[in-house]
Amino acid sequence: MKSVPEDVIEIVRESGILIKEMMHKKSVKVTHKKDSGDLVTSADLEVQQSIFTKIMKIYPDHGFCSEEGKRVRPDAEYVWILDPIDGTKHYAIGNPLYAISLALKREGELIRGLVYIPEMDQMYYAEKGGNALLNGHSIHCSLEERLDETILCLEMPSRHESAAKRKWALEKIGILVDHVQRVRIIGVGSIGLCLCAMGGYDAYVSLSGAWKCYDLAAGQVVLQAAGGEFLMYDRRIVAGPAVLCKRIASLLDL
Amino acid sequence: MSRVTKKDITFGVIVVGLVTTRLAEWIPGVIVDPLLLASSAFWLVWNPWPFLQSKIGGKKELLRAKILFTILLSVGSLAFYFLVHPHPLRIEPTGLYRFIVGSALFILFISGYILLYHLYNQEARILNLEPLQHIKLLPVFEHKEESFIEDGLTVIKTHLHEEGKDPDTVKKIIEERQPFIRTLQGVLSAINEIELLFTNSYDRGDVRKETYESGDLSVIRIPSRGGQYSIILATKVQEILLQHLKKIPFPPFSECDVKTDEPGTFVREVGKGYTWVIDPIDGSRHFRRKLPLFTTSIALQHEGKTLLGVIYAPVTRELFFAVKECGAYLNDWSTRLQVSEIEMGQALVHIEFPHKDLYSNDSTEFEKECEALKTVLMKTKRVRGLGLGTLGLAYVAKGSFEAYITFPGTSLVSDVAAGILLVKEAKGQVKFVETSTVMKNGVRVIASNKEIHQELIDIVKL
Repeated sequence: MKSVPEDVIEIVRESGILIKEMMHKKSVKVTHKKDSGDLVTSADLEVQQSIFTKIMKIYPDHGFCSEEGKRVRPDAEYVWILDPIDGTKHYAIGNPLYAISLALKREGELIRGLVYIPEMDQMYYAEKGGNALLNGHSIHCSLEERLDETILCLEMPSRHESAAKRKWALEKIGILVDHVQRVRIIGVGSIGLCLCAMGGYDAYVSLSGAWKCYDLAAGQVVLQAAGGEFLMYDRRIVAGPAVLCKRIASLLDL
Repeated sequence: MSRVTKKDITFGVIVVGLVTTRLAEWIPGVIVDPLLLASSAFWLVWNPWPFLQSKIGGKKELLRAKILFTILLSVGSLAFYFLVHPHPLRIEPTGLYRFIVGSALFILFISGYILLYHLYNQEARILNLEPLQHIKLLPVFEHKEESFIEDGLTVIKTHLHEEGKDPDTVKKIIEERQPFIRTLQGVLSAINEIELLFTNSYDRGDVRKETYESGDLSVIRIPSRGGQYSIILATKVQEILLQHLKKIPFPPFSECDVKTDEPGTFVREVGKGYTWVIDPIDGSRHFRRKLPLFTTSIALQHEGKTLLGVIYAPVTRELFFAVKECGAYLNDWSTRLQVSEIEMGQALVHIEFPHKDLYSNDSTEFEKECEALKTVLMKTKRVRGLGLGTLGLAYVAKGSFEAYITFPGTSLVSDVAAGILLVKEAKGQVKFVETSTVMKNGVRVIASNKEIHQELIDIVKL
């Protein structure tokens, strides 16, 4: 394998530009998934198909798992994990906060992550043990250690979670608002993690337990390569500079 | 042009230096040194080069720059004194001594000048406004000057007819609004220039590879702690805006009040009814951190009523504009905005969080806000908080969010004026209350679609 897979980056970028144009031309069909309240759009399926075909052509023996259902050889040594559009809800209503998230797993361990935000033309790429790159330039996460100077990117629990969990999360939000400088909610996991990796937000906190591995895998690799910690407490996530993470975790009593 | 070249600085120093020494020489009995001192003091208070003002953010930095330039000027003046003209009323040292001292001072002056030039022109390469050819303009900028107004009027007419207004009313509205469409065009020409500014100073689009490094906002080396740059860029944006607003024939700029958000900049009250409300960079906190979420917003008000509103998000290249009674548009006349019709249970709501530090005396008020916030969180589907009032409101108008709620009264009128007009023109509803509980001239806003408006007001108790 090449050290930096330019070809994979190009594949993702092409797909990103494609869905961006689809949105602007309003040629996207939206359907609701049966079981949850989630959406799936024709763009999701198109991205999934195009990335799948192109990656299989380059790496024919790799496995592939996608959020929208495509699964091939999930037990292979290398498995690609794709969320064709993270932030489908935003995408469907024309909000520019959405991303393509692609990660590579080797024997259960995440080794590569790519996140592309088409509307901002930001391509995040990282390899385990290497530098995190934003459009080819190396990035580093914030070095902030003081809670009261922190701008925090927060993920809210969704309505599908139990009332008890939501109530718990609301209490925690009260505490956060009380202690950090500002709280922001983007609502798209991969974007939140990447903006945290480039130092835009100091930390990323997810009080939602309802995320899937597709959403965060790539962002996690990027953030870790950018020097951040990615801590999980019973599916609640705190990510960012190590010292700050510990402070937030103890503040929230996780 | 507002860019400062080496020529400008050299010219300035030479002229001021010469004038000072010359004047001093022809006043009998007065020696030069006190005059130099006086001119230095003059420089500390008043700064004849506006570029210093526009490129340096904080007061301390400005004072430091003035002191440095004053010292430089004094050295320059002394050099001229020794080299150029003998003083008629004083016993002068001999020619050679004079020449040596003069030359030494001159060399000092030149090297000081080079040093300061580099110190204060670090960002010059970023502020280069050459248009980049491979960037495609927003559709609205492709209109020819006349056709922009004609196209606009045609679109507005069609919409008004569709809404079932009778021809006389339509005619009246069009007649009343026509001059403001021209005004809008002027504002958009400013946005066009700002677009170029951002394109060159922020990593985006096809210029990614070339400009990322130079567009890195940390290149600024003006010594100060924290984001001097964003303040400087905001000032630049404001400069461009004011330049273009001055060219607009109606309403004449000299008769308009101006309100802005940036500290230490242009504020004016004339009291003839028209007010420009300008926020060059909403989200400068984000901009400093290179977070791609910030906007420029401009509104024109007449006796408290907003007539024009423009919000521009450079990174995602979204340009929202609205004219009172004529609708809200995105990027071009062809995309008219309308709020969504989604019910509370499915609603995506944009909120501004309350901040504890603002309620230092009154924590019950803070508790109350938090309770209301929790109710909103429980009742709606999802909540977003981008930390940008302008964008939150614009997305409500676009139908991407169902509502926009500010919990604390920390927004200023300049943050929300344009956005509120957008929401109203997109057929949304807005409740707007001025409050001074947490800060002076704060406003609280609930903007949403019709379906959930009343319920939100009840929850937040606005």
